[in-house]
Amino acid sequence: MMSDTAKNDSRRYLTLTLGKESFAISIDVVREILDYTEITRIPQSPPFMRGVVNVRGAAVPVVDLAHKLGLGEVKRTINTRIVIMEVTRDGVLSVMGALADSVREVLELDPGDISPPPHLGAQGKAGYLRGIGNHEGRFILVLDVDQIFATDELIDMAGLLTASPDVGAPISL
Amino acid sequence: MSLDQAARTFREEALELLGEVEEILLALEDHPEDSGQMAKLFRAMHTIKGSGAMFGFSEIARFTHEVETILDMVRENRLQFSRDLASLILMSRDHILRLLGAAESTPLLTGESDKLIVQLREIMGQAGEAPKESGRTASPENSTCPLFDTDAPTFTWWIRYRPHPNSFLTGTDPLSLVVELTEMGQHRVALHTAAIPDLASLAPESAAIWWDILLISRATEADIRSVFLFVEEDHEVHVACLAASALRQHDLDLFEGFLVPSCWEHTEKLEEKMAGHIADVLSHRTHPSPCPAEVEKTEPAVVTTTIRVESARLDRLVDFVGEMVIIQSRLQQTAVTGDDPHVRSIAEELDRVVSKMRDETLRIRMVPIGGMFGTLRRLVRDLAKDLGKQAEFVAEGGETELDKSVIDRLKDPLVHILRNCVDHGLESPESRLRAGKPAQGTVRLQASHVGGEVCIEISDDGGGINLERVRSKAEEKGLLTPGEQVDDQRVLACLFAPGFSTATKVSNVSGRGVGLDVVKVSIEELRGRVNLESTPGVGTRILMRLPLTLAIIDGMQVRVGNERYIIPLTSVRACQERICSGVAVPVDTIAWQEQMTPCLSLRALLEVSGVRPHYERIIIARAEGQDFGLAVDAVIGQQQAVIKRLSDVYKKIDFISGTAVNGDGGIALILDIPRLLQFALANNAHNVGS
Repeated sequence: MMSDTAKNDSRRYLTLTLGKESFAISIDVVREILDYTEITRIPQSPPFMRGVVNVRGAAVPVVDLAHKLGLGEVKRTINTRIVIMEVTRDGVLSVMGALADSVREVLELDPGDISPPPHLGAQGKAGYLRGIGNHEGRFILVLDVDQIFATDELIDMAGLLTASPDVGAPISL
Repeated sequence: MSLDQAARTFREEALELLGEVEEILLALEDHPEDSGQMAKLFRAMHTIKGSGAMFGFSEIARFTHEVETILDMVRENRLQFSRDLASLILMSRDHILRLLGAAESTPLLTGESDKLIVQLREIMGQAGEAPKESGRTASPENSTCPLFDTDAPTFTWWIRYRPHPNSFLTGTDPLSLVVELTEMGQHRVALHTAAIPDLASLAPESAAIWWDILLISRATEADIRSVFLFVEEDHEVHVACLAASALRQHDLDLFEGFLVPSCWEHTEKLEEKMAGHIADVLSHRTHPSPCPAEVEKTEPAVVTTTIRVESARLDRLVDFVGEMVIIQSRLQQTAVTGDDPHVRSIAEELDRVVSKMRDETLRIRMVPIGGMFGTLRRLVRDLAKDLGKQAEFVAEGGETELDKSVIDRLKDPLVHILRNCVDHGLESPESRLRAGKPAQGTVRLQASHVGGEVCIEISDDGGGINLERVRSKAEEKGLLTPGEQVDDQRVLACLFAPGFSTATKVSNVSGRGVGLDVVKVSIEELRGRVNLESTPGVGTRILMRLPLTLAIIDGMQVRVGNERYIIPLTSVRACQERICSGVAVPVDTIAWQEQMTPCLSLRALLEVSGVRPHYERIIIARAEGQDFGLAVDAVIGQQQAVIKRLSDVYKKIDFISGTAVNGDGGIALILDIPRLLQFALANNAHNVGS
């Protein structure tokens, strides 16, 4: 029974959009989804670190996921959401927020529906991708959240997206 | 509660008790006659032993039992409490602490236990010898019937034994027989020496003494007679059963009173008299106690009015209350701006309760500083002993309360300072006497509340600090320019510089180069300040000021653009204002007290967006002994803020010490002013350089 739910959970993904692209993150790490609230800027921090928000009294850092992945900046609209996640940073569980242009749905992906991430050689940026999911004919990039938050540098996912017309198959550049 | 949890609870409890034990022992050293303290000490050890055995800490139970035994003897005035004994028990206490820390008892630890037990028993043994002159031997409690099975009934025996005058010639040691008897259980021994002739007619090899032995034991008459198996024909042995149950120790004392003055010829009459008395005593007891040792165990239960709570739980509670305070102020704002008087009055009522609740919750974390005085007193005592000095530790204001987390982090700096006092401050007894001071030096610790802060003052009446030596060392280290005219305070401030130590040789006590700078850093981490004063020949005084708690900060909230910052009130000296124009620069100057003073623009320094107003407020702050201005757009007001730590993600940004949530749900950043100053100076140097 327990293992069944665990299995189901790890198959479930939250999809969100950054610009025009759809991304999926494992539902396991998601704690809650908040509407956009005022973010307090922390001076002297990189631009993709948007600041901190008050989540029931705690100051939770918010990362602009689009900026982090080199896809421009998340603009504040009525659809903007902050996804509060529990991620492992340096072996410690910490709460982080990710700013996304919108949050779409929760869907199920079988492990068989996810192809391994494209091989990008020395660039190594694919480390932030867990794989590419195929959901009812649509392709969705599945992000490895722990990897994304484990690093303080920016990732240029834009280059990856334009360079991959056929995301269904492993890409070799 | 799982066994693991139970064991953890035992550990915590034992740690607390051991702290208490130390405090009591040190108090007893000065006032050995305080029987109340002695009883407390006994109870603490008793609890450690009992709970230890219950939760499987068998080595602790075994060892503590010995300590308890000796304390029991002291408690019943069978043993004099001496300084040596105090030291030994302190060592035992430390050993129990080690046992408590070890996951399992190793042969090494057990060996150490045994060594200490031998020492404890030696002292007990001395107590056993001394009473022989007074015709009385004390018994350790643990000897209660180890030889006989526990289901057998207990008897109270009276044995009268007169060895044959020639027993030494036949190779019998009468004393060994008496010792054998005393090993059978609880006992009182009276030695009769009246028959010893005067020196002129004394035959040294002839035995002229005899004994009365009272024995509570499961031994039968046959068991007792078997002791005398080989001598019964020649020696006179009288065995009588006084009661078919165990009498109380107190009764034994009474009978001893009958026996001591009696003579051999009255044996029969005495037996009658004692039998009558016993019948009398037993008739008054509805439930004759099965074994006196158990009577000892049923002590009155100590009524506790405290509950042990895991501190992480308290932290969570404080978090929730902090959150509630924020939500409450949002409600308050909504209610005030709305026009429903009913809602407004509810909000006001809730506000009152919530603020009381916050105060109470924060007070839960407050513990009196006196809890650590015991350790410090011990430190001064041990250190003075090691260094051949005489030192008295006077601690005042033990009831002063501080946040538990502050107290925990205060201990190391205090230890450091006290070490310095005893090692460097106090002179040797000889040089003290030469200087016309009492041989014994005094180290004084005073804690008190001063205006929302805690003030801790540590002073000694030692030789003070050698300013010349500090100055030459400072010049050597490049902290002062040779020949520079500086006041004494500046010279003393050098002592707080990293790696500064005037001790010419390294001792294992202090002077390892990590000196007062460590103290300063620790105190500053607690948002406190430390100051040093010294008068040559009279002594040294260290003054520390600390916030009551780390959970709350008194601050001044300011606004820059749309951003809000909190400046800790302890750094704020004054407020000014100025009319300005143009683009803000990170550092410029203002006039303050007729001096050109640096002024940091938060707007420029922190790269706040928006347009600089024509009118700026300047907060005059102080850090590192330097005044400087902080230019902001507006001062919002003074507030008490609940501090929330900033995520580790921002650990590189050290000039922000935390965050606080405002009434409107927004977040204000708490500035660490000394670090902000450093950041600004580094930033400025960089800009000038490029």
